[in-house]
Amino acid sequence: MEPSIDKELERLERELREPLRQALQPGPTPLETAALIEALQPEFAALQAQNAAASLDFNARVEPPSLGRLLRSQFRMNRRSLMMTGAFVFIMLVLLVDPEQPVSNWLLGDRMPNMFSMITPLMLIASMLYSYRTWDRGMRAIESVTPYPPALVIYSRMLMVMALVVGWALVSSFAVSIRVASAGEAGLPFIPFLLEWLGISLLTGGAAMYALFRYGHQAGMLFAGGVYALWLLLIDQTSAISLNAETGAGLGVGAGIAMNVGFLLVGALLLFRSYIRSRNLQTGGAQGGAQP
Amino acid sequence: MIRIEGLRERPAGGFILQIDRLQLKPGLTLLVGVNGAGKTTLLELLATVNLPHKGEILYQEKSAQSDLPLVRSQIGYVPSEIELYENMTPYKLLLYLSELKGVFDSERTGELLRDFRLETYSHTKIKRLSGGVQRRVTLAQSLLAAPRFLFLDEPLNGMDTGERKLAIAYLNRYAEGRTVIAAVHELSEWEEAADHVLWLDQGKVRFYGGRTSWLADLPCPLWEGELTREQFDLCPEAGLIEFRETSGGIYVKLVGENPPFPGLKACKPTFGEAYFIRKYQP
Repeated sequence: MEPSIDKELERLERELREPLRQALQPGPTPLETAALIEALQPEFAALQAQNAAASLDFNARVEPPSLGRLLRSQFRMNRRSLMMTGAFVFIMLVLLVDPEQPVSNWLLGDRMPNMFSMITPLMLIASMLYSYRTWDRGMRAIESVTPYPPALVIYSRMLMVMALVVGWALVSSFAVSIRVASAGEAGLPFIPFLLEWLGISLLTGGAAMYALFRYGHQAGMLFAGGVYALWLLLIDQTSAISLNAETGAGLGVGAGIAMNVGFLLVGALLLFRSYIRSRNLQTGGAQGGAQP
Repeated sequence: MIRIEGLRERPAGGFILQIDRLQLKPGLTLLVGVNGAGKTTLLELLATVNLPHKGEILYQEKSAQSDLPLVRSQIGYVPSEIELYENMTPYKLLLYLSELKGVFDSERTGELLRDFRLETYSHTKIKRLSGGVQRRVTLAQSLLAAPRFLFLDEPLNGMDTGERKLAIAYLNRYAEGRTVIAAVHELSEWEEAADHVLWLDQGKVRFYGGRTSWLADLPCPLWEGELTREQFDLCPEAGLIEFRETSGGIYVKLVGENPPFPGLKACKPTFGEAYFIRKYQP
C-alpha cells in the first residue's frame, strides 16, 4: 500500500472515530425512555386535546324534544285538514243516530252494534290510512333524520289522528245525548253508549299501532281491520249482551260494559306498548313502514 | 371525516353497493355515477335514512348503530325526489321541520329564507311555487340545524341557472370544515366548488380523490379541433364528447388513444369531460 493512501486512511479513521463511537453507543435505558416520555407528556396532552376537539359532539343547536312537542307541531301542521275532517265526522255521527232509538242500528238490524259504534272505528282506520298514505317517501325520509326516535314522529302523527277522531266523537256523543233528550221519552244510556264506541275505537287504533311498529304499515291496517271484523262477529253472536234498548237490561248491560271496558283497557295498553316500541325503533320507515 | 368499513348493501334495484374501506374527507365531494350505480343507496345510508345491514359507517369515529341520536343531530339530508307538504308555506314548513329536529330557533329559519332568497315566497303555499323554488326550500330544510354532515341527492333538480349558481356558491362556502356530499349528474357547473370526487360504478368505488387527481392521470387524452364533414362522418361515435358546426367545418372534442385525424390537438379536459374520459371504453 502506498504511503499516501495509508495517510489518507489514517486521517479518515481519526475523523470517523468519534461519529462511529456515538453510533455504537448502547440503546437508552428504561429510565432514560421514561424520562423522555415524561418530557413529551405536554405534547401528548396537546395532541389528545386536538383530537378531542375533532370528535363528534351532539349538535349544540338541538334541544331535547317530547311527545307533547311532537303532538303540538303535528297538530299545527295538519290543523286545517284535521279540523275539516273532524267537523265532517261530528255532523255525520250526530245525523246518523236516530233520536227515537239512539242505540239501535236502523240500517243493519239489532244484531249489529249501533251506527255510532260501527262508524267511529272505521273513521279511525280510514283517517290513519289516509294520514300515512299521504305521507310522501321523501318527506318521511327527511322527517326520520332527526336526533330523536323517528318512529315517535309516526306515533305522534297517528296518535293525533286518533285523538282527533275520538275527541270529535266524544263531542258528537254529547250532541246526540242532548238531541235524544230533547226528542222526548227515550233516554240515552250515556256511559254504556260512550264505552261501546270508545272501547272498540281504542282497541282498533291500538291494534293498528301495535302491528305498525312491528310489521309495518300494511300489517297495521290489516290487523286493525281484522280486530274490527272480529268485533262485529262477536257482537252478532252475543247480540243478547249488546246495548239494545229492548233487551239491554240487567246482566246483559253489565256484561256489555265489562266487555267494552276490557276493550278500552287492552286498546290503551297496546297504545302504550306502541309508544315504548316507537321510542326504541331506529329507522322511521322510509321504505313503507316502521322497521325494527 | 367519515369512515366506511366493509359496507355491503343490496338495494331494491341496481347493483349491490360494496365498499370495503373508504375515508371521506371534509369539503364538498361530488358523487357521480350512472343511474343505478348505488349513489342514492349510499346517500341514504350515509344520511341514516337506512342503516347498513352489513358493515359500518363512522362519523368522526362515532357509529350510527351505537350513537344514532348524536350522529343524526349532525346530519342534513336532501332526497332526490320529494313532495313537500303543498298546503304549507315555506316558512311554516321550515318551522315545523326545525321543531322536529329539535331546533327551536326561529331566527335560523329566517336566516335560511334570506340565504336562499325565499323571503318573497315565505308565506305562499308550496303548491303555488315553481319546482326550482320548492327545491330551494328542500335544500334550506337540510341546513336547519347547521349540521356537520350534509348529504344531497341531486340537489339542483328543477332549478334554473341562477338558482343553481346560488345553491352551488352557498354549498361551497358551507362545506368549509364540514363534509358535504352531493350526488350530481352535471359536473362542469361544480368545477370551481368541488374539493373531491367519488365515482361509483356498479356499486363499487372506481375513484375517490381530490379535484387535481380527478383531472390528472386520465386513461387517455382529449382531442379538439375542426374536421371536415367527411372526416366527421368517419369519427368514432363512442369517444365524441362535443361537436358543433363552425364556418370552417365541424368543431369536435373527442377521446381516444391517438387523434383519429391529423390537425386535432390535445386539450385540457373540464371536470365533466374528465368523467367522460374515465368512463370511456374504446
